[in-house]
Amino acid sequence: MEGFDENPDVFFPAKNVFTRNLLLNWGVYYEFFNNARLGYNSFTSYEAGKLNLQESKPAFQRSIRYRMIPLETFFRWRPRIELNFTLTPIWGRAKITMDTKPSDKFEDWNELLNSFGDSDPLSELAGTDQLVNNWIGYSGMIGVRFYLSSRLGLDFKFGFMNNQYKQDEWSVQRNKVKGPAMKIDDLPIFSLRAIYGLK
Amino acid sequence: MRYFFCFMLLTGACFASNLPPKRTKKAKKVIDLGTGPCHDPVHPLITLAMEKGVKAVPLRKIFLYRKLLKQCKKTGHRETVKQLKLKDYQRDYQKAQFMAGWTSNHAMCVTIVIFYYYVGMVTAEK
Repeated sequence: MEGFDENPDVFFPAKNVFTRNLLLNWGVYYEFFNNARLGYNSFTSYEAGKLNLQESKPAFQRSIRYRMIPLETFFRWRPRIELNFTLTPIWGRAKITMDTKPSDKFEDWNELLNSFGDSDPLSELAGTDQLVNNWIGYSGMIGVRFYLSSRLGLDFKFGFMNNQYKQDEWSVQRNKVKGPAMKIDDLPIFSLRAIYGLK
Repeated sequence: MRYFFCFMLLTGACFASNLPPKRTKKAKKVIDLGTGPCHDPVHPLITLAMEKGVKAVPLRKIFLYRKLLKQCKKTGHRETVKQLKLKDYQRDYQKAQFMAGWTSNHAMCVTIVIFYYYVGMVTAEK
């Protein structure tokens, strides 16, 4: 995740392929026409670890969820092979949470936010605090589906995601703050999943 | 007559071999399973799968359906089961073989958008 890891002050320890490149994907589709489906799809990136801050070592969790309402059109190239085309809006939502001691809460949160470039110190925090950001985007994908049986299939898709993410639009306890500079505006995406059909 | 029988007995004793008698193949036991679910009257689940496709079989009855297919195979309806599966693929294929109405326009839009995205990515890197 370009931008997120280039933080000189706070080191994010859980960097690996699973937390940066692989997204957990699930979805539900309804076939409303012979050649078209509408559904809900979610791609999630999750990371958890411990931060090494000056005051303490709080537990840290970060999740990015791309929620999609895809419109998919398709045709059967062969009785067992299908080609599909997906266009979808995205509602992206990122969350960062930190479990700190009540006595170190302000220092820890301010240190984390300062590392992202935020200069205003926080004055208001609650029992459970989280940094949240919402954005919109769109995505396009082309895929091939191979039916192993009439109900079960394997689906491979490739395409892109365009996210209107803004670094300045994070909020914690309804206060606007500056978050990590993630470069997720233009991402190529590849997805592989198993499909089970019901009627 | 007595000499003749003695002669036959002696000859038999002299030329007899101790080879075991030739074994003949046992006839295969035919297990009669009676009529299966694919015989008349055909089981309602099989009829449903034949008429509306395998996907129409309710999920809670899928294990029963598989069991019925196995019984069909055992009772001489292997070809019926094969045709049932093939027909299902053919049904879906005929339904979705060609893009109807607006769907081809949608597919074309998606292709163009993705094509421009990847062209943009390649040219931007250069």
